[in-house]
Amino acid sequence: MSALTTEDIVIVGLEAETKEDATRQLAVKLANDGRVTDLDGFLADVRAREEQMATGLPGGIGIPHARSAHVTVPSVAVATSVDGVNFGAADGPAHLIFLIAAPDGADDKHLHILAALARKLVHEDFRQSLRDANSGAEIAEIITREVQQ
Amino acid sequence: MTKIVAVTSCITGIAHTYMAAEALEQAAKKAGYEITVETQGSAGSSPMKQSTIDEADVVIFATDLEVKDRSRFNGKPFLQIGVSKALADADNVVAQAVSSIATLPKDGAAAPAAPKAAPAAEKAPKKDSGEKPGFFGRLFGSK
Repeated sequence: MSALTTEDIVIVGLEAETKEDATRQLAVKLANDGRVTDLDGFLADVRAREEQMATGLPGGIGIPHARSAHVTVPSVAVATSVDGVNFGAADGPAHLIFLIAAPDGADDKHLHILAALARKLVHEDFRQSLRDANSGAEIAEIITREVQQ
Repeated sequence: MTKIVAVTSCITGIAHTYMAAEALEQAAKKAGYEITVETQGSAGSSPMKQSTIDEADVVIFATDLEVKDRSRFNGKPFLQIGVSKALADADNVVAQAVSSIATLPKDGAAAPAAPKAAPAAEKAPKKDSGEKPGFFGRLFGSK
């Protein structure tokens, strides 16, 4: 099974003015890696979800996400941002952004892995370890170790 | 030991459902309560045992979708909140559910329009930014 996150879909030190810009930069990574087949179609699905309710969450994270026909394999693209990007959370901008992409017909096993990641995001020590990471490889390694073992 | 059962659900069913479950579990553990959470997400839902529900003192519905097989919870005092409130404010949600067991509406009751003590949940500071209450709120039969 392919990894949820690899260094190819991580952006360390993302610079983005808006959540749309941040989401697009991450989605481009997914498209370049062959995980998303139709960039604009996928972004439209993410936007539709985001419009229902902002995905900024306490603890400085943003989790734009969608189940989409344009996704080939469950993936989580990750960005760290020093300045933060406003994802609509009450307690301030997101310094960790996770673009969660699930194929429309994802099977249970894949969805369980995404669920495991979601549970991890609640824990400050997990978030801290990602903020402290210096490279995409390190971030991908942490996520794989914590979620996919 | 006070026993809580909770149900979580969200629109997409891949993130908030599980984050809220984890947050509620952590908060209950910290407060010294027993909790069982049923995640009604897209990774499949494993219904909790009826005996677990029967033994519970209070139910927390942290749900943005209609609760599946809600009749299982008939007669139980329940606190209804949106999933993002459970995420943003799990400690207070757990504390409030336990402290207001006596005044919470009972699930399945004809008219849960309760006396003034009950809807305290609704009055708690609405921090879940950007939530549009109308659309999914209408799905809740008992609200």
